[in-house]
Parts: sequence; C-alpha cells; structure tokens
Amino acid sequence: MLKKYKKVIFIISAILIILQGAIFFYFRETLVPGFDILTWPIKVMSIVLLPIYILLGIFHLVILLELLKCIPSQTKNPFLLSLGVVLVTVSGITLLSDITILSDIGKEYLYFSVTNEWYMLFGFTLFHFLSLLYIYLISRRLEVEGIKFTDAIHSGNDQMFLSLYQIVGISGFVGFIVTTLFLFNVVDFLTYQSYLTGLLLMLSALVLLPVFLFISYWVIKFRKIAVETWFDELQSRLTVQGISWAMLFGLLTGALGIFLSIIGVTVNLVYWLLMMFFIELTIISVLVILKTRVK
Amino acid sequence: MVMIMKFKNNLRQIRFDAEEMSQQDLADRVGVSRMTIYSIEKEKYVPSALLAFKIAQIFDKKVEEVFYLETEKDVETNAKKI
Repeated sequence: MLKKYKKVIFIISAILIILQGAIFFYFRETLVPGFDILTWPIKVMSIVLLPIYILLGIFHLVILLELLKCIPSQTKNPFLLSLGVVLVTVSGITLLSDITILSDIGKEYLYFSVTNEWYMLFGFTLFHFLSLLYIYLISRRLEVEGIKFTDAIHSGNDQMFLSLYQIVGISGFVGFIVTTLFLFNVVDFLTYQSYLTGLLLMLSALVLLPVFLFISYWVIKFRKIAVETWFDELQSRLTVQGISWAMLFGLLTGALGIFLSIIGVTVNLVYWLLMMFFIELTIISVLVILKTRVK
Repeated sequence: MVMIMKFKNNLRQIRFDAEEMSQQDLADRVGVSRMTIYSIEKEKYVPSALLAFKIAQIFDKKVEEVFYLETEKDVETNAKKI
C-alpha cells in the first residue's frame, strides 16, 4: 500500500503541512498581546487546523503500520526502515504536542511572550515534513513482499530481531545526546530546575516511545505464541551478552560516580541516571547489531 | 595438561548432499533463524544439544556425523596436510 500510494500520501501530507505552517505564521503575526478580538479568519483557520491534524495523524498511523509490516522481509537496508519507524512514531506523537502548545498559546498570548512556543511549533512542523519526506524517499527501497509479520516469529526472523535492536539503538543514542545536553547545562532556558527535570523526563519518554510501540506491536501480534520462542537460542544468547556488557559498563560508571562524589563533583542524579540508562541501551544494541550480520 | 578442543561440523557438506538444502530451509525446519544456521556453519556458535539433535534428525544422521570435536593436535595435523 505504501509503495502504491506513496505519491498521493506524500503530496497530500506536504500540502497539509504547508497549509499548517501558513496558518501558524498568520496566527503568530495576528495574535499579539492586547489583541483579544477573534476575527472570522482566525476562527475559520482554527477550525481548518482540526481536520489537518486528524488527517496527518491518520497518515502517520497508516505509514507506521505499513513500515512494521515490511520489517520481516526487509533484507536490504533494514536500518533505513528502523529509522523510518522511529521518525514516524516521534513525528506522530509530536502532533499531540503541537495541539498542547497551540492550546497554551491560546491561553497565554494576551499576557506573556509566546515566542518560544512558536519556535517549537515551527520546529515540529518542519520535523513532520522531514519525517514524511524521508519515508517518501525510502519507500522505493522497501521490500513489502515475502514473509508476514505474524509468520516470521516461528523461525526467529533475523530482520525483526535486527530491527528491534536498531530501534533500541537509535532511541538510546538520541536519548544519550539529549541527556548529555541537559547534564552539561547546554539546555538551561527554564528558570526552575524542577521544570527542566520534568522536561527531560518527558523528552526521555518521547525518545523511548518507538521502542515501547514496537515491543507492544510485537507482543500483541505474538500473544498466542510462547514467549520462549520469540527469540531463538543464538538471539537469546546475543541479547544476554549485550545486557551483560552494558551492566558491566553500568557497574564501572557507578564506581566512577561514587569517586566523583567523594572528590566533591556534584551532578544532577536524575540526568546522570538517565544518561547511563541511554548509554546502556546503546551498548546493548550496538553489540547485538554487530554480531547479527548475516552474509 | 589440558587438551584444547574445537567444536566442528560438516553441516555445509551435509546440506549440500541433501539436494543443496538452503540455510533458510534448514532454519525453518528446526525452528531457528538463518543467522543461527550461518553462525553454526561458520563455527562461530556452538548449538545447544537439542538443536544439534534436531539438525541431525533432519538429515537422518547421528549427531556425531554432523558435529564432532577436534583436538588441537588434529587441527595442527590437518593444517600441515593443507
């Protein structure tokens, strides 16, 4: 389906996103402090935004399901597909963030500066566009024919196993970058530490969402199959090896953390723990991916 | 003195003799991934006893006809022959 209708889906999505951006631009210019009269163009555009979001949400969902279906038969370039799954999931969930930010702007624009909110909205809009463009570009290379997702589990499908760890790896790496930025105070535009910690927890949850969704999809599809057959014996061994190395790393960095606290270096514990968690996820997936190469 | 032993197999030859059965086909029949069969053939992975028996059974052979142990001395002798 994705291959067949990719042009239609992409063209409609691109038009919707451009329209969305134009509406945001108009709103940003019009909705200024002291302007409390909602003119008819503003009302019409607000109504237009709702179907745009619904359509974009449906497209994201359809694309995500189509990408998941491709995983078992994707023998070439499985990383492109895994990256696509992560991008579409995050882009889809940030559609909800857009609505939250718009609602915040609606409540606050009369009294506060909402410049940062507009930047976030434009950033997310660009992200939606780039994610869909990426899917459009890779859809030519997708191998849709072959094994069905539901049949693949019986033989411990290599592509599914690899995709799982690629998704974990991408999420882990992005999470590591985000937490590092917070740990080294690159991100400190908020006044209160508690808000900053809350923001990092929210971003971490967002980063982990593709992993959660992929595992949920896996569990739902294979709920009737015994858990011990989800991975074959080599895959289980690679997983345990990866976890063991990651735990060893955790142990060593834990010792480093104790040493740092002894010599008086203070770090935010939440940031530190989250960063370690994401590094460990990255280590597990990199080790497993490196050993999963099949010629 | 501890004797060093290597776990070897004739799987590739046996597969070839069995009408060139593919790795994927064998993998499907014993319920593992192709990567596992590939790793066993390349001697990067030692299969469990259960899997070894399953593989032997597919080809109607005894386990020791498919898998065997080679001591370091044998390895050296084989290397000299080559």
